[in-house]
Amino acid sequence: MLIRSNKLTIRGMTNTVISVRNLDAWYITKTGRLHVLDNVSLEVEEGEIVSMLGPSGCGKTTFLNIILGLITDDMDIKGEMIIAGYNILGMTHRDMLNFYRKIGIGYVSQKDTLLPWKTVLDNILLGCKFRSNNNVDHINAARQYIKLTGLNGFEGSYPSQLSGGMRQRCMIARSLVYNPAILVMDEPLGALDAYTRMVLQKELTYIFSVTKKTTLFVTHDIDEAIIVGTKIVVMSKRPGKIKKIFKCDIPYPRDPFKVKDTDEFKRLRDLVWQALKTEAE
Amino acid sequence: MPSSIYINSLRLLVLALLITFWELASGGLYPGFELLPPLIIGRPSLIIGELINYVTSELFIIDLSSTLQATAWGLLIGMLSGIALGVAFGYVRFLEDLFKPFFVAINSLPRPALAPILTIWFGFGILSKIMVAWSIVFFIAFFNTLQGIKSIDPDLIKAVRVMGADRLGITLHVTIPAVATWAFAALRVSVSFALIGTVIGEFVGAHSGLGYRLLVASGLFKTNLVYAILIILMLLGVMIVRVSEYVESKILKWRPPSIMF
Repeated sequence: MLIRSNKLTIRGMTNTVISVRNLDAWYITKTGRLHVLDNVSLEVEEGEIVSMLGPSGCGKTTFLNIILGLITDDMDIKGEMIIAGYNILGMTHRDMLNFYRKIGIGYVSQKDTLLPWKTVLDNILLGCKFRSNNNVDHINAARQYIKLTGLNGFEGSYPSQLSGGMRQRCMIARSLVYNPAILVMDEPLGALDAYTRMVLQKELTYIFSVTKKTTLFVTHDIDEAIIVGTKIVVMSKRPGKIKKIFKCDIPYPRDPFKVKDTDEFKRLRDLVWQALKTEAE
Repeated sequence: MPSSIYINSLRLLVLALLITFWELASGGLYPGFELLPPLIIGRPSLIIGELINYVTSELFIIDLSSTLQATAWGLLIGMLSGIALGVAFGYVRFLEDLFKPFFVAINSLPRPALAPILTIWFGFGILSKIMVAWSIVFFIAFFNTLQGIKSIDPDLIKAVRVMGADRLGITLHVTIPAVATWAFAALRVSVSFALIGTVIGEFVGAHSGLGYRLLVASGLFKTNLVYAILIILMLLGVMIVRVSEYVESKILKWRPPSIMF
């Protein structure tokens, strides 16, 4: 299978794709300022898959929104968010849009955000349309990712005709098709039933091993975080701080069912739980 | 669920029984037996005669085209203006804050009550009928469009923005399809109301049209002609609703069948 890899031209010598330095974030509400992120620092190397765990409301989504460039007027942000060598926090709205269009950022959420009036193929092609007009290239890319995500034969279906698992596959294909530098996944499997979830965990690890995307992967599931991540970040309750970072050296490609039997998995699960337990209470 | 042949033949039977009873009651079957005079309740056999008479006359072509034209223009202008203003109000919050109470107030006015003043303004020609139809269709399209814009899922916009869409891209791929969905969902209802508005307009002041002919026939106590025109209006209503349902299902084919109420 032909999957394009995109080497980033990065300012500086390292292959750090995301570098977060002393990031603080507040929401300004009518009743005052709500501190959501507290001095967060994180380095993400190219090709790393960073699982993020933390109690509800710990600022994970805010953190992802900042990385995605979705910064609203009611947010006050201090610190640096350096993506591919550029601090996006200093950019104007227009510059940010152009910057993201150039490097590409893929986003998969828990919620179904496929456009219901577009077919699977048109949904997947959408991200390409905002980049160039070469339709032949787009269709070829879409076909690859349709195959990779197992959506063959569903190209002409509408989202309402697909199962939850299929819709999630379509969202994954849609986020990869324009070859983004970074993939952001916010509980991508959170809304699925246990069985579909296991199947898709396996497919995700396969997709990751093929595409080798730099990925941020938020989940509530400790097992899933270890199965998927090469690095596991545990956050504290609000205001969110990075409490612990674990490395997970289980080699890719991984098989979720076999990974769970390894000693490394069991060791990590204990450590992650120890770190998370006090926050979850 | 009974089979369609079974239920359809039952329906035909019920209809046949009703018509037979009607014919009997109006004295059409046994001379001398009459529950009510045909002058009041009509008589099916005479209604069919009137229907054929009227439909084959030149008058019918004039009346039908007059009614259809007013309905079509009222629908078109009502939909277009309703959607345009709905979009404007959806984008400019201030417009909604300022004008919405007025719109709600005018919309709660029974529209037949508006017809006389519209006839004074726009005369006895087609224009006043178009305006009565418009006055109903406009509000349906307006409120539906406004609702459509407001109910766009912000997460959908977020997802499309992350893919690299600017304002134009979001408008093209999210806003317009969402508004079109709501506007076309209103089409079926709007079509019926456009016809209702036109007939009301024809009642109040006209030279031609099915509603006008109906009023004239009832004034002359031509009861059977009144029934004949009612049948024509019924068939017309069913036909245009069917056409709009077809258009809706073609344009909104992505919707799951369960929402197609």
